[in-house]
Amino acid sequence: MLPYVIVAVFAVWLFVSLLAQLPAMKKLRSWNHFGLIPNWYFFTGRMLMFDLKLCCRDGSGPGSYSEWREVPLPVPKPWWRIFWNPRRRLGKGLIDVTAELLEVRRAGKRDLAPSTLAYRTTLWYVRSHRPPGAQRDFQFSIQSRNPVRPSEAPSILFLSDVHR
Amino acid sequence: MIERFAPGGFYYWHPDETFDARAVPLQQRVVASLCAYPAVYGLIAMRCVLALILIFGLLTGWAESLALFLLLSLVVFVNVRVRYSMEGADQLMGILLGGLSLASLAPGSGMVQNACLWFIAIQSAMSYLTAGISKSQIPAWRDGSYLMAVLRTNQYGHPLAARSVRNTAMARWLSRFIIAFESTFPLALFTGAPGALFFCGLGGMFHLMNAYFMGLNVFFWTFLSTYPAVLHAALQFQGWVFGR
Repeated sequence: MLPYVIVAVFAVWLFVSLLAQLPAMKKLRSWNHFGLIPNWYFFTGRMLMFDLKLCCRDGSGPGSYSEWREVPLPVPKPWWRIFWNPRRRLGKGLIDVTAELLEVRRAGKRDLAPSTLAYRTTLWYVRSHRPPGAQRDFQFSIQSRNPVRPSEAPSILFLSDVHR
Repeated sequence: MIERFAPGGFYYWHPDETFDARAVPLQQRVVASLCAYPAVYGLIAMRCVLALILIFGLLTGWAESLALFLLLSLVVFVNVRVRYSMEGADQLMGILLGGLSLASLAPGSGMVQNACLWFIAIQSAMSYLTAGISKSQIPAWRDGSYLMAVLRTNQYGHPLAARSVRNTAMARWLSRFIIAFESTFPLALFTGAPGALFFCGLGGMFHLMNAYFMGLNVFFWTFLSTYPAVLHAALQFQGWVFGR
């Protein structure tokens, strides 16, 4: 009996995986909290065509801010990356966080953004990397730059609330 | 990398500040309590030890099955814990471990072992097919501009790769070649041993280039680990159709 049950589980899993690839079943992919319903849409997001930067600025009074400065999220490229390259995930982390924040905004729920895990993860990271002695208030942004046209000014994709 | 889970790291979850009970799914709060810093290091170490034990075949029977399910649970934990940074290779790793764990419950059943290999082979073929078809729907992929841009980014770019697709025509043909390769990969299952070896050879080179130029090294190891199942399925299909 057990072998038949296992084969049935394989069949159902395969069927659900197949359904999840259909564009009309996007909702099914969003249930993939455990990573076991695959999403095989590799390199189709527009965001991957841009360099993303996490930036922070200090507020010294109402409406008065310092220049944006980049919060370090280094993506080193050692020659041995073909064997061992865990640090590439930091950059991917920023891409995923940005995608989630933009999705929240696209859904018309910008007000809810500060309560999302994406926002709070980013906020905590930015807060941890503020230089000692920085102004009390700060704001972060995620900016994008077109690598094909590097002379163009970066554009702000997401602007946080002011925090302290 | 593991320092990223410590305070100040990108994956650090502050017990009071990271979560908002209204917005965070339940399983993430459960995982958060199980995978808090520094306990998460214990889970990562356990994952390494289990992987080594399984690679060297130190366990058999129910002990091996238990180790596989434990490793699968740890992979799922980490998938949830490192939610921002997951890659397609991580998904495939979960699927591979899930398949192997299920198959380990009936080690003496040829039917289950065969179903497991077909499951892995079809998942692998489906991943290429979906990736290929979805790229073919995007004008920027068809005209090469997507590839040109990605290979210039800090995250996935490389100066040599960017230089080699500087020419628009070159980028367009390389993009179309990638779309064609990915979209036709399922033919590996139905064209016998020569077809499977051809597609797997091409896939190996594709992932090797991606690992070196784009830094996608886990894709190389994970996707190549499905190729023996692809070859098995191709040989079996050839046997069914041609009787040899």
